[in-house]
Amino acid sequence: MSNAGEIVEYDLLIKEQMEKVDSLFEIELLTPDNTVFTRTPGGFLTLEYKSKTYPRINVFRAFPFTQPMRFISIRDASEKNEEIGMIGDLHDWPVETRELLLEQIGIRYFTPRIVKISSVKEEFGFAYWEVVTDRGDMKFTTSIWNPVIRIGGNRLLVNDLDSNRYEIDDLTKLSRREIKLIDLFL
Amino acid sequence: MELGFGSAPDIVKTKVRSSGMDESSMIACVRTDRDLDFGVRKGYVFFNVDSIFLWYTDSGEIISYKFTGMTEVSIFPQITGGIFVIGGGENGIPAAAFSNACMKQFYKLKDLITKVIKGEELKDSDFYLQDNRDLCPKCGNAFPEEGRQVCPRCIDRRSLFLRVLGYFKPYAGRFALIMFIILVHGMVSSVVPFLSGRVLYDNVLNKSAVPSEPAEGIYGYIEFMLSRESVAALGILILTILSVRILHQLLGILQGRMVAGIMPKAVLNIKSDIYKSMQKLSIGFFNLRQTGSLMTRIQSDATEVMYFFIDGLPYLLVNIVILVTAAVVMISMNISLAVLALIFIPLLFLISYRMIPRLWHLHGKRHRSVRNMNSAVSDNLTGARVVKAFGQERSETLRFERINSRVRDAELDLVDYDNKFFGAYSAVETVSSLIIWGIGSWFVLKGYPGMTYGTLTAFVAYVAMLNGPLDFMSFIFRWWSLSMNSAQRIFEVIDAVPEVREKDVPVRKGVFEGRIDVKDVSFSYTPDKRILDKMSFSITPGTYFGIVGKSGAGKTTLINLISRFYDVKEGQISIDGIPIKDLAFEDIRKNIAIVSQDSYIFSGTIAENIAYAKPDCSFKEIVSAAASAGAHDFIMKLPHGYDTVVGHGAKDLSGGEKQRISIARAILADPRILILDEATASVDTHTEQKIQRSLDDLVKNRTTISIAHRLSTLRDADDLIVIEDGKVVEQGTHEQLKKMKGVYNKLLQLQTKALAIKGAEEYE
Repeated sequence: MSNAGEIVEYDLLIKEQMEKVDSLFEIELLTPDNTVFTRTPGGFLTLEYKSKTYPRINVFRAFPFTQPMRFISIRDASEKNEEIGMIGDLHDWPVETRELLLEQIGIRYFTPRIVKISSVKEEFGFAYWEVVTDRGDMKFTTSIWNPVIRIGGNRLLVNDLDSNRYEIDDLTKLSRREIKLIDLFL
Repeated sequence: MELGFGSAPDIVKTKVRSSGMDESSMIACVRTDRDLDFGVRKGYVFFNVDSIFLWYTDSGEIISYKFTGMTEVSIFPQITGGIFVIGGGENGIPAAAFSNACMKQFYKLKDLITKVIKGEELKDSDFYLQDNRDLCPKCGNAFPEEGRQVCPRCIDRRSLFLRVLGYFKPYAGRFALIMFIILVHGMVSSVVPFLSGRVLYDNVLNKSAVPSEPAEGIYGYIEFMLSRESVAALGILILTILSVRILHQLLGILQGRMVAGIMPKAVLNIKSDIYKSMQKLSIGFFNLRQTGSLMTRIQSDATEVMYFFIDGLPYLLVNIVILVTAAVVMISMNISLAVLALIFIPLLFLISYRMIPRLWHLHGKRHRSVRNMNSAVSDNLTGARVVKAFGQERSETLRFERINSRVRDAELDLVDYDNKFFGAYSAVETVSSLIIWGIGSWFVLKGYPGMTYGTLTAFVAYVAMLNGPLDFMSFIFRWWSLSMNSAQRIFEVIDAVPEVREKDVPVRKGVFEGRIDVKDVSFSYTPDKRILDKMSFSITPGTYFGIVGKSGAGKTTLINLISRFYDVKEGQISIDGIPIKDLAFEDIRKNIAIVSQDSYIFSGTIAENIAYAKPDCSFKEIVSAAASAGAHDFIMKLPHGYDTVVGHGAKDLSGGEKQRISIARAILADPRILILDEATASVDTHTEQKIQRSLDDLVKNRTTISIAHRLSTLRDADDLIVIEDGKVVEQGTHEQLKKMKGVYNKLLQLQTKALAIKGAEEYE
């Protein structure tokens, strides 16, 4: 290999690195005009953007609790889940695409909803929960240090030791007995 | 945890067999806990060389997917779980869903199937999953602590209890004596109501029933005498009561003192047992666990366990003795009244049983809110600069008020409930003594046989005496469980076996020459990830040897192996031609010294820190070692010089100063082999130069192994190896490697250019 060729090779290497770094500081904006989302037979989404096709994408929320419809990040399906671009506001998008994206969001952010708390027992520094959710009866174990977080108003999220999440829509809808059971964590 | 099909649950194997499939062809199996609608459903996913199978335990059918045409399998991650997708890109189809509890297994399954699809060979280690939280076979709950294969709900508390009791064995005699004192103490305390009630009223004060001659037995005679000489009898009685009371107090004090005499010793023994076994353990044990949780084990767990034995156990015995004697005395005085009094016991018990958990709960809540408040305060104080800089004093005050009001609420709740609890408790007590009074009086009026005013007074006193012990009984079980859980954690440490052990008859070499041979060494911390892969190289005595590689390439691991913090799994490392597994620990430690980037300073004076490896050295040696490390100057500027106390809570040294002290420590140790593990990585350029200068002296005349991120530091090395993915890819001097135009040269170019871009001075 000639000396000149070598230098070009290193320069390319450096350039590549710099581009990677640069991309961390810039956000690509996806709009209904520059993207085509298509649903795959398996229920996932493909994206065509800037003449590139991403066979499967992930849809992440930037503010899952406070801005569920805005600041949506579209990421590729690689292990690193690198960002392809962001969507400003889903309300500005045509209904069909919005539905497709919301379906993906629904899959990613799926959280069992607790409809009834049967028992919460605190023992040996852990809390053992038995609940009824919209997807069936579940048993799980949480830590006793802040396993329940309040996400705006009366909505609660319970995190178990596997970092599974369970949602309680409305604290005020719980019975007195149930509130008493989880009172310690509120 | 093992994922091989051999370890699959029996129901899966049975199902496979009964469906006419070949069990022996199955490769691995994982469990799933959700169906594709994310509903709760138990099932298993397993596979053989040509298909993946999915079986939900509530269904008869096994779903199968053939590998033919399948390019890949992947995991689509959700916040709460994931979807196992088969087929690549847009052809991906969801095959199974699972919660986070099964996440690790599914990732492993994905790796295994990927290898099968690609036609790669599977190794035993591929099936191994480390530190996975499994389900307890007994109660079905997940083990709450990772890496601790014990379900705290299902531990064998009885054998743990006996084992802790073993720590009191040396004091068995005194222990028996304490038991005896407790017994007497309990009985003595039950005598007083009898004297001040029945004897006082019936025998001394009551003049209407003076018997003309004594009844049979000693008690009859005493009764007779008491009623005849009432003034003298009153005096005697008061004296008796007084002496019983004094005896009672004395026994109590004696018991307390004896317990206090044994307990600290037993606590000391158990703590030093833990500490001793921790020192014995290899580095691997500490790397797997957090320092914090280990500290908890020595400190609070030992205290927790012993506290139960100090406070809980003796009181339990006292209370049992009081309960039994009181009950016996009551029954012997009047059985119907006794039954009436004892009927209320279950009710009191019920109140405690139902209300105490809530009381604990509220205590916990207050504790938690206080903890939150403390951390808010400490946040604010440590971040005071930021708060001021952004002018957030007001919002911080508001935040604190909010947290503070939570503490107030928790406190109020607790006090409120406490009142309720004691209200209910004393209500039952009052009602029960009222009933005893009422019915008892009625008995007395009716002249019920054996029922006198004195008996009644004594009776009521006994009823009151039952309350304390009952109260105690209602929470002793919980206390016991907690203390046994701590005991279990303690024994886990005590029982752990060190991974690296010295040979029974080790080779004692004395002083090493410093030749190191690494031959075909492979190593992994966990069976699923290989760090070193058949690595071989040799280091000539007295030379400067550099190791280059990206982070994670295995540099530090190599050093851990050469210093024998871990044992090699395959291959061999030898020093001066002797395998290090045969060398005495003492020789290895004396001849090898490490200066790493996070230099550790122990609590103590600077002199002690420098002399750590050679405590018997002279003051002159300390000073000259410090001087060669370039540390003498800054040490002399400290008001207390070499006697300055450093470490926790004392004088804080800067990173560079600590580094130079640890270099002085290494110089004083005068090792034949010196290892520099990124020794200058965490200091600024100016300090680095100083340290580099002190290292120059240190490396003379000894074998030095140096790992450095900045290649410039290694330019003077006699020999360099470049490692990548656990293999030696290049070897030679700086100039040779540069000419090779391989990995080393590329790294060098990158570093140089990166520095050039940053405007820093050229290193080349």
